[in-house]
Amino acid sequence: MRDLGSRQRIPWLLVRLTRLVTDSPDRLWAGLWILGIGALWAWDAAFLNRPAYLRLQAAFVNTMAGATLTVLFTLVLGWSAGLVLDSLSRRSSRIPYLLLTFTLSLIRSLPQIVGILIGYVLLTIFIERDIVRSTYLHLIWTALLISVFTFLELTDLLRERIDQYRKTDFFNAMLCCGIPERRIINVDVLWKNSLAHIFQKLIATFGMAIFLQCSIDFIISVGLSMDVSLSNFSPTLGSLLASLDSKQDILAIGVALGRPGYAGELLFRHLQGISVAFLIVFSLVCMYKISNGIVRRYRL
Amino acid sequence: MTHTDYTITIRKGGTVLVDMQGFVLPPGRITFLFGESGIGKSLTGKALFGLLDPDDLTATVNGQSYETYRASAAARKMRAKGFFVFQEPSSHLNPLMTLQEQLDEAHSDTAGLSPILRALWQGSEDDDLRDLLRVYPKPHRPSGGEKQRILCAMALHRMMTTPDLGGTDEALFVFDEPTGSLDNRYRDVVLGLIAEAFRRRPCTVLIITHDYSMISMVTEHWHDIRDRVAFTEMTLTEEGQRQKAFAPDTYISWIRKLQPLRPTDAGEAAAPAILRVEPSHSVFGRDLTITGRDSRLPHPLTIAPGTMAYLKAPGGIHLSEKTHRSTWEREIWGRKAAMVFQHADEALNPRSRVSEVFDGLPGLTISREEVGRRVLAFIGGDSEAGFLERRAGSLSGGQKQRLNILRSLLLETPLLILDEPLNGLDFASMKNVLDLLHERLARGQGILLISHNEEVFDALIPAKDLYYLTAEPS
Repeated sequence: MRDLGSRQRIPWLLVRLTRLVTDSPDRLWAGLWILGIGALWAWDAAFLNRPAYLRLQAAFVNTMAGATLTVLFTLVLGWSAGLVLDSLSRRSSRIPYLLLTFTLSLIRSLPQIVGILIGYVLLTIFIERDIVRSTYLHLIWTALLISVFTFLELTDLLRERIDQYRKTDFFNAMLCCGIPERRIINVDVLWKNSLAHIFQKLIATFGMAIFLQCSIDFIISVGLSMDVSLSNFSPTLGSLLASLDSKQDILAIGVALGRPGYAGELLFRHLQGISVAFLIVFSLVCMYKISNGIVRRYRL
Repeated sequence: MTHTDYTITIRKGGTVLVDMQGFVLPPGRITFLFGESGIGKSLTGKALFGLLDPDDLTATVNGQSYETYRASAAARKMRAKGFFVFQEPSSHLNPLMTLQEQLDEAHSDTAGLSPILRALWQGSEDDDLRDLLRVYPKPHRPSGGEKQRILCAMALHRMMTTPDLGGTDEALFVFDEPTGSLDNRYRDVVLGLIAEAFRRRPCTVLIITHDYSMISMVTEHWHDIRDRVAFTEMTLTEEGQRQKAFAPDTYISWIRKLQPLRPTDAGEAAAPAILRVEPSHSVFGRDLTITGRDSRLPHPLTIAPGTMAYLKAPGGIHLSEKTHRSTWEREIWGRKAAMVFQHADEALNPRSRVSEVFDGLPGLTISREEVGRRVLAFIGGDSEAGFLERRAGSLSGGQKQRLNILRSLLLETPLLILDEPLNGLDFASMKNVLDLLHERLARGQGILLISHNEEVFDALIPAKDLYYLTAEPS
């Protein structure tokens, strides 16, 4: 370790920080996200009442778990669809390829929110008929549902990458050495040459999953049927935001705008709603910045 | 040029790209710089000429910062009076100006250009040449060879006619692979014109190339200026790049000693042909015809075990592409035949580690460790662990080419197709590759060769195994 004097340390730190901002904005925003969540956690542990704190904690964990599951399902669905489409497009018979393309285009034509709402209707039916009981199954079902409407972007990306590399010499040179095409596509094209592209897309999917889940949970807060409502589902940031307490907390922001002296109360008396809103908005901003940062760092 | 001896370092980030000590460039002489591709020859030439981008690379020349060197009077004169012909001519030409405008812009006196252009476009009508000069450079027009000839014409015109060229030690003319996109005929024309310009106006010339066959041309035709020509070779050592004198006789005597390969016992035993290609077939909308060397009549191409056939084709046929895309079903590849692609730079996945290049090869019976040993024996990596873990993209062009060849050789298929196997190799590696091909023929492997290196392969391959491919639109 270099022993730097205190006078030298500050410029050195500044240089490192500047490099972090300019060279790796994705890392910077990932760090800021963790710091921001950590700071909020500490604040809530100190000032938010215990039941609300536990609800918030469960909602955050469930939302993140749901988004992570969505990313996993998106990866599996997107990768599989990409490979199947690529394989079918090269067969002499065009019918299977056209059928699959038509099916995927149908999904693509449906607005995401509408599609997921239809999925929730199905989920409600399953819950009413006692087919789905566990709250974990709700989470998995929701993640699967969202991923059905997000995986197509990944499929498009993978097909674009495969088509681009199929024209290169190394693809053909490997084929001419008898290396199986599947291996070239999976290992050499997608794993070795497209990982940054895929990772960037999955980060964006993570943000999109948070947004869609929160939006849907907020929309269905009015209830899905006589027997099924949000209380049947695992708590998420969206459902917590839709609760009456949180809505009042959010309304308090408007009050504080008219009476600035009330602003300080937002951080103590209205902490649940403010925390939920902060977690959603801050996470979405950070995911957006991380995704853009990856594009910049790897010059995608 | 106040210096004739240069110490040059070039870095990109933390990576040292060039660490050259004692680079000698004698004033008033023509210096040939050979060496395998990707070793740092072009970067050294650009550094000397003051063309490096200081935002991208950090360089020093003779201990001076690059900015100081570029601003020095000697370097400024060298640039102002000299010329740099780029290896990739597209990077030099302005796409918003016609070729004629660019030729005119570079020279106030354009009268001397016509004979140079006519020499570089032998056989073309004046009208065709005029049409070409009206073209704006685009990716597909003019062709790479035409762009290269345009740049050579600019340099040659400056060498021959610029009134204030200064003393022999002021201007520097760098030709970086000036014949890389040209066939043998135009290669000889360009070299002849460089010699002619040098006879008229002696100056300092650096010719960077990995085409050793230029040596034959110089020794045969440049008698009067032979004592003012230096042959050198750049090599990569543990300490960095080094320039050493290359004795032309080493190459000349090697070429003279090359004997036509004799069919092996396996071939003589009239074993069934591994490959037979009918003389006429149609591919991608073009009728292809194969003729034998002597008859000039359609002739099937056959390869028996232990023999090598040499297929020649004029530029623009995209022979290698046709070979790998159309000749056989894919089930053949890797089992009965393997192909070495021409451009090693593009034939290897640049993100693959050296040890991973061989993963997935069908029927490979040797262990990964054994593959590693063979790689090191053939390529001569710096250290076992380090070399095998390096990315293919970080290797020199010659190392990539040897890796490219080795991948196909490990397959032990009955037939091996080689597309320009000597591209980018230094002299020692060329000999190693040819030794290996001898060995493969002796073991009964059949080889189909595609190459423009006629000097070497005409000497190696018997006339009966030479074939020509011609193409006509269907």
